[in-house]
Amino acid sequence: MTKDDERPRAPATVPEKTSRLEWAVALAGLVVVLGAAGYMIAYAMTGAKGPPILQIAQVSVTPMGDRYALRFEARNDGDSTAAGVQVAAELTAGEAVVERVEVTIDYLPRGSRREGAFVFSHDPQAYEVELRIEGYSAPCRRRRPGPVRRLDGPRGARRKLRLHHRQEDAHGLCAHPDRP
Amino acid sequence: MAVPLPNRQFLVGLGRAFAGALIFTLPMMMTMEMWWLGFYMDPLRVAVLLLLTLPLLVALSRFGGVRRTADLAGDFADALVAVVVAAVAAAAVLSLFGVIGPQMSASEAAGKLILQVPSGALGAMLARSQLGGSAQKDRSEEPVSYGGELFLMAVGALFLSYNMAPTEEMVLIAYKMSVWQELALLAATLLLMHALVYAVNFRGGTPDAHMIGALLKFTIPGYAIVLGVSLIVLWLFGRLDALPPEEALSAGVVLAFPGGIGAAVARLIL
Repeated sequence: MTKDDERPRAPATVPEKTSRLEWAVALAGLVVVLGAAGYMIAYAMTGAKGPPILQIAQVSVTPMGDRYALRFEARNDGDSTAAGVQVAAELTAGEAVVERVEVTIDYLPRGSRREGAFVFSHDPQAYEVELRIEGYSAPCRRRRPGPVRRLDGPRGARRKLRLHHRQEDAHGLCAHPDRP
Repeated sequence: MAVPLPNRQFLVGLGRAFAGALIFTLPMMMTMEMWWLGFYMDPLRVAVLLLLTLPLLVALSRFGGVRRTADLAGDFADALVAVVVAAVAAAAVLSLFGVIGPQMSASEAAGKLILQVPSGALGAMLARSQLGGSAQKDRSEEPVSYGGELFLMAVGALFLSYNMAPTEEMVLIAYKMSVWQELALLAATLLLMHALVYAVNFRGGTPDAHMIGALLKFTIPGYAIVLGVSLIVLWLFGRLDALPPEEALSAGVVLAFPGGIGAAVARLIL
């Protein structure tokens, strides 16, 4: 800081001294700043570039009214975040698929777990259960939008597009399921 | 009470700082884009954000002032205290909301927390000075240097643009606008900034109260600063990634609208 930039100080008021307690809190702040920045830099450096590695496991089966909720836990042991993770569960009896349920997980960040449930009308305990991760996309970032970006189609048309193509709408922006 | 006076003052200030941090960050802590950015933002940019925040807070302590600090070390201490307050407030509120929790990786939780620190620390710092007792009153009557004024404008711009840049709407609005609308927005921003800047100078009754003088001295450089701050914030949040330069600039112009008002108002308040 140059001397020129300094605020002129009125000599009448005495500068407040920094108390010892304040220095202690300030020291904690220094630890927070350097620790957090260091952690993030280290995280970036240790090649957090790999793909998401997704797994899904059954947690429990509980009745829900006249239906059955099969709770699951999906985890991402990979180095990057997966978005719009499609998971599916199938109840099979021998070769025949009795029931199939799909669930979408909005985000499954690197190194994290998320819980959810498949709701069946058949009791899963009476069948073979197969849980599958069927797909995901990279979390959306701003991309160069396509040539349609300035066109506002009819609302219904855009909705449809969203259903099929969750991550980008007609504007080339992220469409989020939580947002109308 | 047996607490010695300087410590007592500090603790009271700490309470105010928490209030300030909450007021400034609650809108952002309750915005889901901020949570998502916490885990998909480039970790290096998160580090850059945090490391840029510190000198900014030190400078703010110098110009805006929490208390009459004796030296730069005191300003540094104030800045670090503001960071602690912001981090603790964010950790408490985000865990209450269940936005951070044990099922998350450390990097996810850290990212979500760090993103709340800059505005929380800003709020903490301003609260310690604004909500302060009468001893602080004479502070605002001191003349601030030209560099200081421009700096305060940058802080005001940063505050508003940091609040708005995480949302999708900034880029969406830019797409919706034609070039002419963008130019009109730029002109409107300049006009509003100038009206506010002129009002400040008028009130102060300084020789700068001349229209053209104020325009050249504050409004134009102020807008350049605001646009720069807007672009930096957009870049930090990854909003400019893979955008062609003209679209990036138009997103910057959109964000500079609230930023410009923040900058001009900052001179009134700070």
